[in-house]
Amino acid sequence: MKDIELNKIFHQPIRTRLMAYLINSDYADYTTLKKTLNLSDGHMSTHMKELLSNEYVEMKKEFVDNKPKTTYSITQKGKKEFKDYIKQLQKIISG
Amino acid sequence: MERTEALKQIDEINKIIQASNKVIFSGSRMILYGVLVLLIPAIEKGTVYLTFGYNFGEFGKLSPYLATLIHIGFYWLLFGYLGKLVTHYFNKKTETTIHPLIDRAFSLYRPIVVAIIGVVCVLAPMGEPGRFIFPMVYILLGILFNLYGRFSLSIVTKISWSYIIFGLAYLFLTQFHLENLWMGFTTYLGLSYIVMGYTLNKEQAVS
Repeated sequence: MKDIELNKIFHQPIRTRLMAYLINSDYADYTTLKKTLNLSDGHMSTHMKELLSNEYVEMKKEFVDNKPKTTYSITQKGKKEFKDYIKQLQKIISG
Repeated sequence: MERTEALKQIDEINKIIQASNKVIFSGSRMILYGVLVLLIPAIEKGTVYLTFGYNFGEFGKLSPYLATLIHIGFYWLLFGYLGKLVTHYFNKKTETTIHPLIDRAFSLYRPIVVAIIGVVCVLAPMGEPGRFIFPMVYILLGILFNLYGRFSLSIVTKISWSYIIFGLAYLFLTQFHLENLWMGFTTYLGLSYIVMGYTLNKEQAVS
């Protein structure tokens, strides 16, 4: 079988989790992602940086009740490419 | 990449998608509601249907309209206040971020809740037709949880179907005038809430 080229950015356990969460909910704040996916601050900053620099995710910073709040949302590009990534995984499964 | 590795990856993605949905409603709150529902027969019997045995004048017993109002007010406050308290202490750090379309679909719960309260308000003071309250509430709860289940865990959908089936069965059984039938159905309702709440909490942390 011909080797299928998988997106290297998505093919990393933490980034897969982040993208899977965001593709379903469209957006999520920093705390929700960190708590629900059991990630450390270090994980969040390293892997979000990667997703942001590849324009798969967008970040918005705002103040809510005088407290800073960071929200991440998935971009159209991120959605499309993550769906392609899932399709490729399914291709591998079906042989 | 191996087939098994791809399968594992797809499974992981599915787990995360489930996890992002389950925060739609609080598992701890569901468990609390379950316990409260289980206590309803004891509360009702223990307080002589919330009258504490007091005779309300010319009606011989509490006016049906007043009784309905007291019941709705009492349980509204009990469930509402304790529910908020539980959410505040157990779920305050998990903010709900659900898809705007799901959020919109969820607003359908309002007419269903109004319908449930309406059924109680209209049928309770009527005496004999009051026996249709429980089956109708069961069916309406079934519809409500079926809606939730579509965006959450499969167990919620399964339980919602059991509400609809039990509601219809209850409707059929009303003809036999079984006095304590409501207690059995209330117990099932309470237990099923606890099961849903426990499952939601268990699924919440994606390890």
